[in-house]
Amino acid sequence: MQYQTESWGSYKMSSLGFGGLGMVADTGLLRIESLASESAVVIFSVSTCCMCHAVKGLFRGMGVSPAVHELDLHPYGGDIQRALIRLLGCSGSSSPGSLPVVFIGGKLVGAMDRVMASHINGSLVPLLKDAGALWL
Amino acid sequence: MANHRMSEATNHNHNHHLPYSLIHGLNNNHPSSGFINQDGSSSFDFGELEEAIVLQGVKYRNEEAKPPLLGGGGGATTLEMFPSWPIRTHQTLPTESSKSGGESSDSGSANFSGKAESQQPESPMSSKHHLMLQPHHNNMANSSSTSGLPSTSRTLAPPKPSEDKRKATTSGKQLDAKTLRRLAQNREAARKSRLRKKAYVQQLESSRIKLSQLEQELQRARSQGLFMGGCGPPGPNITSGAAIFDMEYGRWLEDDNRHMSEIRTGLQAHLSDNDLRLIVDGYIAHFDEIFRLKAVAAKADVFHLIIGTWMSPAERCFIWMAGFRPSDLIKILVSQMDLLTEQQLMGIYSLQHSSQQAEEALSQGLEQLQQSLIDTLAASPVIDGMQQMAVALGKISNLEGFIRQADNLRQQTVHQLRRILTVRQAARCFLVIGEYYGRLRALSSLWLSRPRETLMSDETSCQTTTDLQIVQSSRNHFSNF
Repeated sequence: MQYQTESWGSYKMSSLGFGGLGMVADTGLLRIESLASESAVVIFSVSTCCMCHAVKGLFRGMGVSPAVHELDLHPYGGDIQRALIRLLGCSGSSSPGSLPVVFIGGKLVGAMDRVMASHINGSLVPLLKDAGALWL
Repeated sequence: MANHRMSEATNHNHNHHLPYSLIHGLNNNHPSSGFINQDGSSSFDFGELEEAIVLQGVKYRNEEAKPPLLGGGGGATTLEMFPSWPIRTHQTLPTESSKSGGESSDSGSANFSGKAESQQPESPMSSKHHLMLQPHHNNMANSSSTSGLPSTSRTLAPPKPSEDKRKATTSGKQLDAKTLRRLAQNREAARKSRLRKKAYVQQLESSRIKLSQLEQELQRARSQGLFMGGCGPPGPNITSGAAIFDMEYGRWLEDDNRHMSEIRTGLQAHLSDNDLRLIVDGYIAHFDEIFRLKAVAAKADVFHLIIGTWMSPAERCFIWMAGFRPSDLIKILVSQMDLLTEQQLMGIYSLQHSSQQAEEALSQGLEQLQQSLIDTLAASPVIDGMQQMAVALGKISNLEGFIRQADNLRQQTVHQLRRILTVRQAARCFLVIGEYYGRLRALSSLWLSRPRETLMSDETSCQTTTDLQIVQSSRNHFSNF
């Protein structure tokens, strides 16, 4: 079971274009990978975080119901958060390590600033449609 | 020698004790001014402080006038008739001339009487002085009489050589109690005037310090007023980060005006698309600059930004998360932009829609932040108040994140507009937006500078207007003239 998940995870990693990250995949990263692919829109959040509340509100306002993982309530939350910070640091986000982090269709979109920017430049809606989160 | 010193010391003590009792007596019936009026001319009608200066001046003038005085006293001024001067001239006669130079004006008299005391045993010397003084005083008396002084001053002069009790006894002359009393009074008057001078100088000094403090305050207020650019009253406790931002924003506004006129002339001159593109790109870079400045300011003073103290009042009316609402830009544009293709219109409406959704999301987040701040502060502290405050502070620090995201949203909206529109349309669009905000700022200063009567008559506005704003409005009102 463990072996199966791992091989599946690393496969998905390389297919997602994470490249080198997949090679040094640790448990945190693997957990992110598996959680992110479970739903069309996945948000890694902290239950008390107001910006996380904002991003959840954004998707709900667009008619999307995202899968939300509150890391402060999650048994492996610490691991996942550390892995997310590393992931965002690599993706060149302006605010590395800041939650929320959004995955659409199993692909990393980024933190709040990336989500907002892609919504304004009109790339978010097609992404959501492709992932099957939006029909209209 | 020891005796001399003893007598000196006791004399000093005596002199130090004497003034205070005498000063009170003198202050009550103003004998010193009486002396001046009596001995001098009627022109010595000065106030208390000026009197001190006059006396001081007299002393200096006396020292200056010494050589001619000794040489014959032809140039003696009427003021030298002041009864205390004979003692001084006595002291500064040729044998003592070297000492007289070092004798300062302030402690002169106190030292002086001590020295006179020490000279006392040299009776031949002092008697010689008396002899020398005698004609000199007569001279002075004569000169004073010629200058139209009252005759009383002349009668005063002759007994002066016998001013010292001990001198009088050594020289075997009878001492005149009345003269002694007058001399003592003179000495005390001189001392009193010195004290007054000291007080006056101290008063001047403190006034000077006060003045320089006021000047500094004025300078500060003026520079802050400059930073604010008339955008509002400078806060009494403005932080340095906020002040720097206000200054930078003032500069940015100047740049903004420059960019606006550049775009305007560019559009009017029918520049080529490439030239116009340079101007539009320059404007977008300038627009990005304000977000960089705000990011720095939000780190320094998040509250200054979020309540928009740096904006003009009318701009503040539309404030949303430390700036304009991105969707407002499109509201401004829609009525003003023409010749848009169907695709462009679709793009703009879609932009308006997504910016509204993003605004709504951020507003929800900020609402949640406020709610959690309320919950944190309203709850009675579980462990101690400091921990509660630490939690609240942590929440406030999240405000910075919201300002950053809102600015990101504004910035992205402007960039998206640029992508949707052609260069010429974009130039027109930014001109419309720039002119709109220019008018909004002009409206603010008009509102602030509306006549005071309106403020006074309109009771409701009076209630909502703070004193500062009234002051501000009157200031602007005057500056307009």
